[in-house]
Order: sequence, then structure tokens, then C-alpha cells
Amino acid sequence: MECTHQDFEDGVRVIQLTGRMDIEGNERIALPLTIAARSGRGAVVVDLAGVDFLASVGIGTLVSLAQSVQLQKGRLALCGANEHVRRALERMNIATLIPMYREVIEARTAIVAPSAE
Amino acid sequence: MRSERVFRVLRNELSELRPLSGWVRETAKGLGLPATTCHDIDLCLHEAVSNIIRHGCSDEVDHRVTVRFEAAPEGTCIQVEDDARPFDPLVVPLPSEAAALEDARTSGYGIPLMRVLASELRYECVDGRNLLTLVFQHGMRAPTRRVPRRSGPD
Repeated sequence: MECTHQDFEDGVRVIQLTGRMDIEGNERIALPLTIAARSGRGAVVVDLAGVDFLASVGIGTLVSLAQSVQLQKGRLALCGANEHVRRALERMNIATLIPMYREVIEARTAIVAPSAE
Repeated sequence: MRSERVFRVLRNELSELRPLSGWVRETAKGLGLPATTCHDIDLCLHEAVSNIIRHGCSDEVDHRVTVRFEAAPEGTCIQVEDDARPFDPLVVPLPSEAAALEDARTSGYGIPLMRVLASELRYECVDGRNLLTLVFQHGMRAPTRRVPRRSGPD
């Protein structure tokens, strides 16, 4: 599992996750993911397009990450989830708590909009 | 699609999870199961077996987990048998839906995931061995079992 990030001129940090977010994958990226999210400018998009498998431990990590960003008065959104990953997040009601978008650009636009939730 | 029954015995080590996943995906694909079913079986087994290893095998004793995979045209039946401490995942209450992000759990999604993705779950304890059966009906979505909304934090 890999975690990289890119900063955009609109102030959004997009974190790209790639691989299988099972116990082993989650253990590998949990810390760098948290560091990347918390060291940005408070507008974070986690791009899940490269994640082909999301286990419960990964769901927990994403929730914890979103809570951490929120505590810092920032916002976090998810994007790019494939059909299986999206279904897992929706079935666990995560999609009602963390905004989810299909594309990075949608997520970036929403997260910097003044009225974004 | 044809019926087949295959076995795999795992040691109670987390390093067994990825090989298990590879075996499950290869078996499911070879049997022509739908992609969604392949994924759901993979995920549910990851959750079930990781729970056994992490929570059921806390002693220093070697344990074994046996996974049986039986596919038929109407559905696929997976059985997970282990000799870890007795545990019935079906009696674990489903977490209620968090009203806000700050109230959401950061753990405990494994059993709920199994319960929504599998068409049916059954548990027995036979001669001190746990036997968890997961059924996946092909082409049929598991019923949408959303957790009940709660009005405030615990």
C-alpha cells in the first residue's frame, strides 16, 4: 500500500492511496497518511481511486483521519472509490459522515467552497 | 458455474491473510463467480479470519483455521472453522449510526460488514470448535440493512 500527496494552488492537499487497505496495508500507511493529512492546510481530499480493497481497519483509519482533520478546523473529503469500496463505505454509513465524490476535481471544488459541509 | 468444494488450512498468523485472499480470489474467479461476489467473499473472510487470529488466539498456542468453499449455481457457501476461544459474531450488537462525524466509531466495522455483505450468516460451536458459515447468493444483493440512527453520543 502506498500513500503520496500533491498540493494544489487552491490550497487543497490531495492524498493518493494505492493498493490493498487490509490489515497489512493499513499498518503500512496509517502513520504517513495521518501526517500528510495533518500537515496540510486544512483542506484534504483522499483519493481512493487506487484502492482496490478496503477492509474494516481501513474504514476506521479513514474515520479517524477525518475526525483528526475536523479537530484542526479543517475539512476532508473522499473521492474516486471504486464500486466495491464505495459500497462498503455506504453500507457502514460513512458516506453520510464524510463527503464522497467521484472525481478529484469535484472533491477539490466542494471542499474549498465556502458553503461546503 | 460448477459446484466445487475446496479446503485451506491456515496458521493463526496475520501473514496468512494475503495468501488466503489470493487463494479465495483465484478459486472464486475460476468458478466463474460474479466480481461482486468474489470481492464480498474476500472481504468477509478477511474480517472473519483476522478476528479469529487477533481476538480468538491470544494464547501462545498454535491454532488452525480451516476455510471450506463450496459453490453451487444458486450460491456460494463459505465455512470458517477454528479452535480458538468460542465466539459467536452474531450476538455482537450492530453499532448504531453516528449522528455526526465526531461520534463515529474508529473501529468495530468488521462484523457489521460481514452481516451486510453476506446473504446469510450462521454460527455453531461444535465440540469446542467455532464454525461460522457465510452464504453468498449470486446475483442477489444482500438486503440493505442500515443500522438504526441514534439521537446522540453514547
